Amino acid sequence: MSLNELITDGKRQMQVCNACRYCEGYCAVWRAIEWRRTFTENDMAYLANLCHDCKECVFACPFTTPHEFGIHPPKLFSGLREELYKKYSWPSGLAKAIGNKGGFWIIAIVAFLLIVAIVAGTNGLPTLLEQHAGKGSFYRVLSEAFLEVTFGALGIWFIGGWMIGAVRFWRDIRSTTPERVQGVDIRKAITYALRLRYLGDEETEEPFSGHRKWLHHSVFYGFLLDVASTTLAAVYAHIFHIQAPYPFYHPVVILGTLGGIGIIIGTSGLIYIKSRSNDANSNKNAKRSGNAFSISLLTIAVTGMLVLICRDTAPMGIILALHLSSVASLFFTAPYTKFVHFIYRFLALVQYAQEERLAESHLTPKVRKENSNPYRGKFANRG
Amino acid sequence: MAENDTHHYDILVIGGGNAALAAALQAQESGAKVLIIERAPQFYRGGNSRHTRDFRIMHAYENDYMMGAYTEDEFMEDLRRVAGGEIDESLAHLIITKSAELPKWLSNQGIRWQPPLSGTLHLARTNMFMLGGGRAMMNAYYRTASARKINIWYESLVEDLVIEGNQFTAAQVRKGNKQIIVHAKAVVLASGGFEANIAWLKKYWGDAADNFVIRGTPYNQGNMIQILLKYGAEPIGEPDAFHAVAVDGRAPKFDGGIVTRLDSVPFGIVVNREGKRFYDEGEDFWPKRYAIWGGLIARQPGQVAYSIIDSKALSKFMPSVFDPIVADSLDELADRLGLPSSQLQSTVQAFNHSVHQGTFDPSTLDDCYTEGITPPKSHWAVQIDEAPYYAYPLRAGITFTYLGVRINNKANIQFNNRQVDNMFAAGEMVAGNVLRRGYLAGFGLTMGAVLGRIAGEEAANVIK
Repeated sequence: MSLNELITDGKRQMQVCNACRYCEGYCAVWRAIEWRRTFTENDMAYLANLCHDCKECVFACPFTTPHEFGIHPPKLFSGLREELYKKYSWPSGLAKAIGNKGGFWIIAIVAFLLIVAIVAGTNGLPTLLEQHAGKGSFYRVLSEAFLEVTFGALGIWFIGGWMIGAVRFWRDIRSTTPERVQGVDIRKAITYALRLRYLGDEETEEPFSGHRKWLHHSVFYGFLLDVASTTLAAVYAHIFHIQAPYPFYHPVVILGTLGGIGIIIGTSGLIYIKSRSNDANSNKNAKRSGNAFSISLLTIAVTGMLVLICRDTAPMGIILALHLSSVASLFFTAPYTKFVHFIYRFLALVQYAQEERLAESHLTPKVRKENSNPYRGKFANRG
Repeated sequence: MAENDTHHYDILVIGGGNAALAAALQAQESGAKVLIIERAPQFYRGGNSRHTRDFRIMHAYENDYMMGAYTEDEFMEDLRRVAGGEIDESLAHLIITKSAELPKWLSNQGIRWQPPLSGTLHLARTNMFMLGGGRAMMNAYYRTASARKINIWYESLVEDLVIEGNQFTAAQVRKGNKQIIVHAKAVVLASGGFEANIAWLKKYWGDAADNFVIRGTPYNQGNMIQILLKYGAEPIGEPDAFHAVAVDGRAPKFDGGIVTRLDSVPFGIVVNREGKRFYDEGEDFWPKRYAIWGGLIARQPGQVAYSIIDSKALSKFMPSVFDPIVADSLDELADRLGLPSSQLQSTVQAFNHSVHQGTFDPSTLDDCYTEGITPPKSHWAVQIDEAPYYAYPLRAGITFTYLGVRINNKANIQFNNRQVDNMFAAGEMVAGNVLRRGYLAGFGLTMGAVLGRIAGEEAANVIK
């Protein structure tokens, strides 16, 4: 379905959901729906990115297919997100070209060939296949300056790309909210995001669905550890002038290793769960781009771990080139792949936190009582 | 599975909703080997339970899911009020006291709850809401049943029961093209009412039944009630009575569930297809209004009515699943609806002239009323004069029927001609035991789960 068709069907579905409201206890999406009577294109963009795709609501829905109403919000929203990522990214032509399919691989291969060519042109091809050890061994394959300039430029590229998308999306979803966002809204949104508050973790009718939350945490916090490791490495290299590689007990290596393990476990689990999920319950494009992103992170984590394991052996040069080309591809494609989801989700959560604050200011304190995990509440006694 | 297969179980449960699963799980807790036979395919399992929302629960203290306290006396008083004078006090008392056990027991079956939110606030003190509603509840029930090795047959119809002397011995089941005999030491019947059986409804309502909307499952055909009555079970409940609400006339014939409800009635006027008003639209608040308008519409010509409002009223009620029919003038609106234009205009004119201006407040029985017209509109009467005008077609949405079989306090089915110790019933097919008529939100599920558990426990007891 095209973006327009998805939005038209979305408005129809939202009207059914808003007349039902049985799902209101599940997640932020449902309360956001209740705060509206009509649904604009921008509302649909907001709701689509508020949904974390846990599908608890679908298995609770008496009106999903085969019922004639054919309600399926998570599938609708994931289809919408795919189209919206393209719509908001810049340049959108590039997004369409490399966004969901094999973009990451094509760029990774190109990057690998470039790296090999550059090594051949500078240090000579044999350096790629020789054994290097000791301080600065990585830089004997590719010079430190080259790496810093290349990855610095890529950093500016993807962060710039992300920001363009973020500004466009933010403008759209804010178009009807005159009140200003407050610090407390942002703080709340950060808490929601860091805890994945609105990704349901109960077992639905799909196998292993209850594990998605911790697996995602594993990827996300693993990624943060790797970012921390890289940052720390930069501090050591430029401030303390201690060059990589570092010994195994070094904080840079420990953080990087933990992060790598987290990513490997998390992405493998997420890919496995996706492979077991019923196609009827997910948007085909979203499933593909989600898997592509998981696989790209998995590739980086695995090659990164191999660099560590093989760093004193001859294959290190090739493995390093593979690792760096996959990282370069991740960075280059970052504004166009599933990687962008965290930006849109987070901005939607900020908008939600504000709407929640405004709505709750009309309610009594008693009603505001929250219970994030009702199942394990007072009555549950499994002993 | 071979043709003409024969199966042996300790306890057979016929039906697949809340009462049936409560019975099956309770019986299994005593170690019985249980089979559930559900007529519907897996997606539609659970009968009307898949459209439910909440349990009415007696509780002494506030908890995470219910505010304040709801005492036994108050619960009983609420039941008496809706019962219209006829109530089985001893059974009602049993259900009320046992309702207090339900939150814990149901939680142990995997059912989750939601804290009071905007859509449930008006019942937050008396009722407990399942997270995600009825289908989520049924999913939890079935997941637990499967985990405990209870066998479940979908798309299977019990065509007859074998009662030898004073004992139930077997059920004759059609599963696809196969005829199967299921022998069991006891049976629990919990397969709902007959509200989806249009031919049966026609016995009391004639051709009008063709115009009814059935809000729930099309599988509630009442065949088990029919079979039980054939074997001499004592009928109970008013045969021609049903609970019906006003639903959007464009709703699907079956299974439109909650989304077709429409609460626009008090915000304007309601006319029949002749363009005339026929009942006080401002008589009372939601629970009573909700319970009577289906029946009122069922008695109008063509079993149809039209809720007419103007643009002032449009955003004052829960959004509807279908867009209203809109027109810039009443004449045009009448045309769109196929109503006699001059009659509609004079009805609105007469109504507008009779409105006594007051302070409009939908949360109280306010002082906006009419003077000098019949029927009056006692509250919330505001002139219909701001174009564009909106209309919703309304029909009678049948929720459930009251006719069932008599049981005793052990959920044991009572027969006219014999005493059968190993047959039990629960759920909507015995709802008439407590209330001959009337409706109390959330009581159906409570009654189903309590009597289902009793039926399951007693069935397990008689086979020991």
